[in-house]
This record gives sequence, C-alpha cells and structure tokens, in this order.
Amino acid sequence: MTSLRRSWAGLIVMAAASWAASSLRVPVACASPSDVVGRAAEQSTATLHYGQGFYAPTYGLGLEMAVAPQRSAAVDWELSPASGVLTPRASYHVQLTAPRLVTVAATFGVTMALVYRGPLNAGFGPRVGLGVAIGREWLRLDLGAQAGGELFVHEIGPRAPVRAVSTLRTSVAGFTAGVTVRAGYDFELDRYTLPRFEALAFIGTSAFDER
Amino acid sequence: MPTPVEGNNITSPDGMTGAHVAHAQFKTRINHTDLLTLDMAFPAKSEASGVPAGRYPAVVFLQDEGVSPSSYAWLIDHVAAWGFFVATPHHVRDTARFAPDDAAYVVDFFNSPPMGLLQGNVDGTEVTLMGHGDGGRIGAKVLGDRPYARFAMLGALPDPGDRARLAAFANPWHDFLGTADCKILAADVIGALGAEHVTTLEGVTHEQFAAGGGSSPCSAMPADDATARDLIQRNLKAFMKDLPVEAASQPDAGDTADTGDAQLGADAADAPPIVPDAGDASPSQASDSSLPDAGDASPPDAASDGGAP
Repeated sequence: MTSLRRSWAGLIVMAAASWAASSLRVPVACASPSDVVGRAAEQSTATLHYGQGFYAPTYGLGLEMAVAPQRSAAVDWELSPASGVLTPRASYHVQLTAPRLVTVAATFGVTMALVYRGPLNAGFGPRVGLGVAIGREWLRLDLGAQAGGELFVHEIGPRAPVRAVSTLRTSVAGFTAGVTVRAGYDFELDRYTLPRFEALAFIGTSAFDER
Repeated sequence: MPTPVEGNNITSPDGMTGAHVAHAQFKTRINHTDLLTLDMAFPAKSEASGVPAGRYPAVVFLQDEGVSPSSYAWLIDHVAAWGFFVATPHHVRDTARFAPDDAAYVVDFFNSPPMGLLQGNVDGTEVTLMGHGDGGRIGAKVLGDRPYARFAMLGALPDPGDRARLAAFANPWHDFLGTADCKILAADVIGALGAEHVTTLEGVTHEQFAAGGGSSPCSAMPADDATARDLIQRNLKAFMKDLPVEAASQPDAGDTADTGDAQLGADAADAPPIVPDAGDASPSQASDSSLPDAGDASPPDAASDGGAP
C-alpha cells in the first residue's frame, strides 16, 4: 500500500503541473516497475480536423504498478477535449518470459469510452495484446499487436479495433520517455473499415516506487 | 443514428457567389467517438432569394481527394440556390475513401434531425449523391448504402467493380466531364459508362469543378474559369431539375459569365441566424430561428430557373 500511496501522490503532482499524461501502455509495458507516465497524443480522430488545418491533442494520466513478479496492473484516463470523449482504461500485464534482451509479454484489459460532448454515450469492452520487447531498460523497442471489442449504448456496434504498436523508450535515473506509434483499423458490422493512426509521446517516472 | 454536437451560423455577408444562400456548420457524432464536421448550404429565408420556403431536397457532396470543401463553395452555393440543402462532410484528410461511411452518416443526419434543428426543412427521402473526382468514385461504391434519388458525378471514373451497381441504380445518374480534364479522360468514361450517362463540357479542366485555376497540359484551349463554371452549373442544374441533359455542351456565345441563377448577385446578408449551438438549443429555439418556415412548404422546383439550358 505504501507504494500505491506514493504513486498516487505522484499522479497528483503531475496533474497539478498540467502534464499531458496517460498510461495507454504497449503490451510489454509490464517490464517496468510502478511508474507514472505521461503523454501528449495526436489521436487518429484528430485527423478529422486535418482539412481545417489543425490537430486536436488528447491528454491523459496513468499509473502502473507491479503487483507480483512479472505482473503489473495499470489504469489510465485519456481525454480528448475536441471530440468530447473520456476514455478510462484498466490493464493487466503478464511477462511470458523472463526479462532478457528479448522479452515476450501479454496484456489483458478493459476500455471504456464516455462521450460527454453532445448527447451522452458510453462504450465498454475488453482488449488483449501480445508484444515483444527488445533491449534493456535504458533503451528498449517494443513491438506488438492489440485487438479489442467495444459495445456502445447508442448504435451498439460492436466495434473491433485492431492495432499494430511500436514504442521506442528510454529510462534513466527513474524517468522514462518514449514515443509510440499505433496504426490499424476499426472493424464494425455494416460499416466500412476505418483506418486509424496515432502517434504519441509520453514521459513518466518511477521515482515514487519504494524499491 | 448520428447525433449532433453543435452547429454554427457561418453565413458570409458576401458569400461566394453573392447568392441568397445561407451557410451553417454542424459537428455530428460518427463512429461512436469521432466527430464529423458538416458544411451546410441552403436557400436563405428571404423573399429576394426567389426560392420559396419549404421542405428542400438534399445533396451530399463528396470532394475530390485532398481538396478542401471550401474549394467547391462556388458550385455548392449554386446548387443550394436552386433549392437544395447541400451538405459537405469534411473527410479525414479531405479524402472520401478514408471515410466511405460519411455519406450515409449525412443521410442519417438528414433523416434524424437533431433536436428539431432541421425538422420540416429537409426532405431526407430525396437525397442526391454528388461527387467530384475521387469523391464521385467513392460515391459509386456507397450508392447502395442509402436510397439516393440521384447520383451526379463530376469528372469521375467509377471503378470497374462498381459499374454493375451503377447499372442497377434505378434513379437518374450522370457523369459530367471536361474535355480538358487530363486526370479523367472523357473517352474512358464514355467507354465505361455509355454515352447516354455522360456529358462532356468543352474546355473544362478537372480543377475547374473546384477552385479552378491552373492550366491544362492536355488541352491547347482550356476554358477560362468563368466560362467553365457557367458550363458546369448550367448542365448540372438541368440534371438536378430532371431536365434533359445533352451529351456535349459548349459555352454560350457571348455569354461566358452567365451565373444561371436570377437570384445570384443579390446580397445574402439578410440570411437569418441559422443554427444556434445545438448543444444548448431547445427545439423551439432552433426551428424558430434557423431555417425556412416548415409550415409553408412549397416545391423547390418553383425556384428561379433563369439558368436552365
């Protein structure tokens, strides 16, 4: 619990500093101990505004904690003010191999989407991921794939997002920074497949970890 | 059902053509979590417009690949002045093929008026699908997704796999091509679709359906923009009014700048405030201040027809 309290304290500090943050982690994120990460994302939906000459960023806050050897859990909230969507997520990461130069990990999680701009709407669904981490803690490349399913209150769906994920990250002295690119499609009954692209930068710290 | 998020009156006093056309912009919810921006142009509530208040048929306009919707302002204002509600969705990266569902979302938007904003003013059962270039090509793919009343292509060549869908389309459809279009060759389109569904416009380039300008490397004598726009709007209007469309069209001698609309050139500044923020507007507010009186519906065909060929 000490670790949890300290980590939440870290969240508050970062939120107060208006950090753009999130822990939408790639599938191999469990290689890290508990940390607070941040990001400023350029969401795929922002490309809707491309013709109008601007991108709409999303912002998030997140927390990841080691809950057992080779296991970690994460929660995060991502906000897209332009689209009016808040996306809370929860994830459970499992390292499938011992930490080495190449590490394989899986992610299980749930995603919510709360649409607050305009008529209220909400969506919910599970997601899974599988990935490979190549490198050491100070410099690592994560490659993975994610898939999920989502049901919504209005226009049920279901929507099935499928993504390829690539993250390059570095950790030095308790701080982590990196860049993630996600690309893929949304599949939905009676709809055309919708291409999605997302590039984001994140920054975080494990300075509040008690170890 | 797409749900609106907000709308704004963006009517410009000058307008693109000076027509009595009002403009609005909506944002509507699509794909559950995205927002789609819709530019709307429609006859202003004005006696001077020559278009009676009423329930107007609709048009969904799909732009060419990478071309901003604003590039079509001149054409869209003309179509609206004929008595149509014209909606232009802002596609992802201004490219219809990235979001083929946008057309269907717009039709659903017309058929499920947001909080009464458009109720009684748009006839969602009579929607024309119109597309330029790649927008027309994508239009041929999505033609069966909703019951469209017409399909107008502007400088478009449908993919071979979509031509059977076109042939089966029971309502009027037509392709308008410039003879100076170096991107889509008229001969190819006539060969693919049949001459009865194609009108060639003398000297018109691919770009002149949009903002115009530029040159035509495949034509020694491209038409100037005013002439090209006159040709385009005269022939398109005939199609939209269910009048005969000729196989080939040339500029009127000595009248290259005819707008084809008696009401064009008038001041659009008297267009009423159209759409308050739909996120806050009550139905009564919206229907009262935004659009022509639904209780006075008249056939839009009564619109000024000064430019009919």
